[in-house]
Amino acid sequence: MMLGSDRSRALTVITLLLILLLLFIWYGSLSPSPEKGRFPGNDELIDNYEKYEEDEVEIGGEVIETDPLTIEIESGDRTLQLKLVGLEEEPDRGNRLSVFGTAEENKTIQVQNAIIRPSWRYQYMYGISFVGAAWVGLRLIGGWRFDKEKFVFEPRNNPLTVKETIYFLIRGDDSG
Amino acid sequence: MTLADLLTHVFVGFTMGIILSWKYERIKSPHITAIMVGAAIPDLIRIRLLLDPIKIEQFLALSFSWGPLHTIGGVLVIIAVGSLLTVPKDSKLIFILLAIGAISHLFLDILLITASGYSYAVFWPFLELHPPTPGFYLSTDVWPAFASGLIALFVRTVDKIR
Repeated sequence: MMLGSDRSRALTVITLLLILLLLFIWYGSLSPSPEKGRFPGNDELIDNYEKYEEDEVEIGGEVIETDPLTIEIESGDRTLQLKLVGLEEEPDRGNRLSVFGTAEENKTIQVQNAIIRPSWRYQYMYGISFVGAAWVGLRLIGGWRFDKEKFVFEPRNNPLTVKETIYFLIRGDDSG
Repeated sequence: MTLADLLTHVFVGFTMGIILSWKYERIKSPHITAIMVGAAIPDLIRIRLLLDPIKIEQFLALSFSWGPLHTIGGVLVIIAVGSLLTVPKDSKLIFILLAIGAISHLFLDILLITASGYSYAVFWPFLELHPPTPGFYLSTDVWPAFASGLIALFVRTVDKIR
């Protein structure tokens, strides 16, 4: 009885994971559609810049040169350098830019709108995101336990506080 | 794509969890955690910093993107898997709690400022549309984490007094 329901649970999980894989493949096949707000971005321009000349594009990258203003955009470990024209502000080297504009000849973007951020803002964002992830992780370990036999997560009867969880992780004893 | 900082999302999940625990006796500390986990789920998309989708495409010889993790479709599949990994009698409750957290995350991210003025494909695969964003804040702003942190602290204090 238990076995049967466990098997159907496992089958459902596997089916869901296959669906997720199909979603990853499907989403990867989508092409830009500006009328739906999906503009060519870093990936598309690095694949084939010329294909998107005259089109509106939305990209992001770091300022590597200020005269002429040039940013480097990334897609995985591939990069492309693009010149920006028509920007009123004067960002510094190392600033990160999010840019909406028109792709023109010679790898030049005519900027319509840009968001300029110093790089420390990104370090800040990643820093506090790590704090958030650690907090959730500790609460998850302290509030839940994994039953290996039933292959399920269960709430602990007496949840550990964050402090107790850290002790628990260091000592590795489950008595608390 | 822009993402809000994860800490803000987790504070929002924590706050919602505590308020819900006042109304529903079933919701205890581990369930508040479940909402916070839900609020973190769309940020699983950061896996792309570790596993380059371009390399995966070359390996599979198929198109590939981690994008669905930050859409309603991908999130629903993940929380369905998550709720199936809990004891069957709790599965439905856990599904709802994870969904509350995840939907709050997706909703807050629609409000992020973008260069084009359009947000992201939040309703995918049901709709491909990137809705226009009202542009309330940047993921790199400092104030959202402080504001949401203060609210979380306030709600927690009220909770202790009750």
